[in-house]
Amino acid sequence: MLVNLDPNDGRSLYLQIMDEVRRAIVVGTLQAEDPLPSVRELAGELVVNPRTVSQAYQELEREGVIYVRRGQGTFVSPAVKRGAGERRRKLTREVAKRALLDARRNGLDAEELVTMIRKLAAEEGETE
Amino acid sequence: MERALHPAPRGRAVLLEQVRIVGLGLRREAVVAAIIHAVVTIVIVVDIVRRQAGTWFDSNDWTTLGIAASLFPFVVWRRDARFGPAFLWTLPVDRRRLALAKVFAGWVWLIAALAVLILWQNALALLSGVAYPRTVPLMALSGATALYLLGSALVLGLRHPVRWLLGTIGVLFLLRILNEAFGLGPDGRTEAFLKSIGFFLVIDAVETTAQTLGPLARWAYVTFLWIGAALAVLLAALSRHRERRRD
Amino acid sequence: MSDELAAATYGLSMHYGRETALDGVDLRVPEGAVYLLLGANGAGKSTTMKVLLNLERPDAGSAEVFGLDTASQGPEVRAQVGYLPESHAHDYAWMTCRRLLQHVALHYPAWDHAYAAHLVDVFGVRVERKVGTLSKGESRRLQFVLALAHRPPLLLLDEPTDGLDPMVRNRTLAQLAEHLADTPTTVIVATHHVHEVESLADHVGVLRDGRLVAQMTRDELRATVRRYRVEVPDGWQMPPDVRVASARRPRAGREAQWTLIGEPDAVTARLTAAGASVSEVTPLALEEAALAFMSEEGAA
Repeated sequence: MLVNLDPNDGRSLYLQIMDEVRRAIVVGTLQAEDPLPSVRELAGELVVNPRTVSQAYQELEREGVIYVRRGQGTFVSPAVKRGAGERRRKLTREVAKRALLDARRNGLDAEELVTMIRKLAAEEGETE
Repeated sequence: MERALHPAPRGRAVLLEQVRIVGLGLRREAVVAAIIHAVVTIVIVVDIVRRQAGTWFDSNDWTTLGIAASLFPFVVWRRDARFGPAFLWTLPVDRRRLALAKVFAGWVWLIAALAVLILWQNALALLSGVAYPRTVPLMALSGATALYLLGSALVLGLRHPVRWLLGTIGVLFLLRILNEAFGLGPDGRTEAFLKSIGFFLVIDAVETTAQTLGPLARWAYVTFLWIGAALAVLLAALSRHRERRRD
Repeated sequence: MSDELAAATYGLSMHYGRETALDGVDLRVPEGAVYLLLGANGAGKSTTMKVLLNLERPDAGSAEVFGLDTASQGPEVRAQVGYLPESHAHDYAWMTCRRLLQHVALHYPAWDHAYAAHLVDVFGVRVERKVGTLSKGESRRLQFVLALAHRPPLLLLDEPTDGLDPMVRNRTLAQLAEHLADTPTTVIVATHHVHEVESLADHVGVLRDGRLVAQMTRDELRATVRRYRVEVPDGWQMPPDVRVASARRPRAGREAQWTLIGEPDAVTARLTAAGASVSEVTPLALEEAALAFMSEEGAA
């Protein structure tokens, strides 16, 4: 699992970590029962306070996305497949938010953006 | 949450480590001293063989030794910044105690060096067959101790001891020149002043008591006073390093 | 997060002659926090750390570490602290690294010899060499080993990345993160290179000319500063009650950009009420947000 943190992102670090984990699950990099890096490992890799990683993991555990197997580490929940829809929607929402912000900054509105996105997707489909 | 605090180190461990570290830091000087002594020994031995060794053992001059002892603290403390933030003061030891430990460590090596020197001198004297007026080595050691303590007080009590030292010597020298050149002798007035504060009373008292004692006891008595006085000065100097005070 | 304070100062003030190093500083560092103490050079960061160690004594005010008074319990306080000083040069340049490690170990009964050996390995410190012959970077890494090996509850790091080249820097900070995972530690980092350490931090304090002008969690800081892109009519002036950190107002056109301090919704409302049209509000990276407090116009 590759986690990238964006220092310019306005969200708290632990939220970013949570989103990255969810993204990995939606995309398929992380599957049910896959092990997650330990708090120590991830903290070292991202150079963040381990407590931030802990916080992210705890929240994910609360949501049922991951669980802790005593003595063995943290793993992706087996129930993950079921919740995929919700996660996928959340992810889509984040991506759309960013696109919309970008559009507004350039003076474009939502309609124009959506039309263009559809057009581009169709073009890509053709060239594949 | 009950926090278990990390303990500070034990006094004995700190003391022993200072002795080791100070010794380690003096290795280079020790080597230089050893070389000088080796050369001098060869020269003396040559003289002994030629039966001209008498001149070496004439003097009973301990002045050089005294000066060396009083300047030794400068060598001991040359690598530590005594004032301001220094590595030494970041250690979890009370500053005054740590300084005292370092002073003690220096003293241990000073005495060791002196003992070696005295033994060496006596050995050579024995070899040369000269009746060496063997001063009681104890006097040399106690004198050196008192002077070392005073030197330490100087180093620890003043930020710039060299300036003060040179300054004082300069002033005394100047006064002496003035005195000789213009007869500006303050002696009469100085004596009167000292008399008024009972300075001579103290000296007389000390002398009278000393007379009544046998030679060994006398030595012990005088030593006690000198070292005691030096220690008092040192402790006063150390007060500048009290933890609970602004420099 | 615990309510306990790892370190705190109360009205701390210090002067060097006519210069004010610290002016009524009320530092509050919660236990377990990674507290970034920011400020320009000479703003008082190093001085604050030295007061916490009782290396410097303040003119006024007091300081506490884990409830211990730094002035009267100096040695006990220092036994809880791992200190990375500003300067790379070491007083004991003539000693070998190995001997220096031994020397320091003796003064901290909590020293973990196995961990020290591991750190020496990870940081790549050549223990046989004399301390004075080390390069700037290696000397810094040695200081890191000395500070971390006894697993102190409080770490005071003064410009930790100074002297480290970029590759080594990341490795060092990663090691620090792992250290935090193994040992419950509070860290205070004094630096003016914010971006290098910002991902580790969860608290920020900003010193400006000896005064603590801001002290809050990282999230609060980033929530309190925003860049506002606005369209304003000619001759428009920023209302005086809005806290301005910096402004970009080109002579041509009506678009301007301001970095403002304050709750974003309230500020936006204020600007709109004053006749400006807010087109965009963007958050800033931690460094820029902190910089806003350092450069705030008209701050007393």
